[in-house]
Amino acid sequence: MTLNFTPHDALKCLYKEASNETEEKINIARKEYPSFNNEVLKLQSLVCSLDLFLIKAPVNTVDRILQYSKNKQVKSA
Amino acid sequence: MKNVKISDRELLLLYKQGDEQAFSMLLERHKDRVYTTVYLIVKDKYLAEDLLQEVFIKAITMIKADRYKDEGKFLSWILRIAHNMAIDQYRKAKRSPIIMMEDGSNIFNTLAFSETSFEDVQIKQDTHDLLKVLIKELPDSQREVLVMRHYMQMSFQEIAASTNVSINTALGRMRYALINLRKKLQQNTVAYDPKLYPT
Repeated sequence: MTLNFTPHDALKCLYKEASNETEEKINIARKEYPSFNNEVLKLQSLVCSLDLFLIKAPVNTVDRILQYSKNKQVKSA
Repeated sequence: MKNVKISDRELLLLYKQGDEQAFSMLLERHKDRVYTTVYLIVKDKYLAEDLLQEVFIKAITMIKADRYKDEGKFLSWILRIAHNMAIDQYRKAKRSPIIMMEDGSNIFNTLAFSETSFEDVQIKQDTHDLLKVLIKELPDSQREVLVMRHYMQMSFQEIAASTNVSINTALGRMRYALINLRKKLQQNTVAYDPKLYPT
């Protein structure tokens, strides 16, 4: 299969940073080549997992920040 | 007050007027993203905890001293502070490496020796835990782009400018980060596929 865009174009498309024209080329290729579409779907799933991946901030540290804020004076105008 | 209905800008305004509840909401809204960003850079939970505190203390100090000019980009601003502080710490730590225990503690603070092994990675079947380990294993340049794109919400153009590389280099690093992560995720999933290892 011959694709008329680069892997970097596909990556930009994955992250919604590609031009409309490139996006269209990629969408056409996805319909035409199921194996390519499959690859894109797998990467989309990984990108989605990464977006959702957040590590919970420790409660003790958060409490200390709140305490610091309460004790810190506001600069008077 | 409903957290979702009030913008960061409004919360900052209330906070400047002395409303601590407004700050509590801001912190609640952004603490995990800031923590994730610093943790994935320094790769050490104790250092990340200290950094989380330092980042918000710096922000509080600047806001209360009226030195923060809000342009509707509070999250970008605080993530930039977090990134810079974490990079400084990471570079310092690299110059004098500390041998860490698998729970992230310093080896010199404990008697029992253990190391993070591939087996430890394998038993973490949960994708969240696995991702945490696998992102940490990425080469620095790939991890940096991943953190900037996913947690600091920077565009590839901004990442390229911030890291002094071409946009193609930034894209290449992201591409290899995804390829590496996918490969490792597949390896770990296959390794513990119960169909392959019947009891």
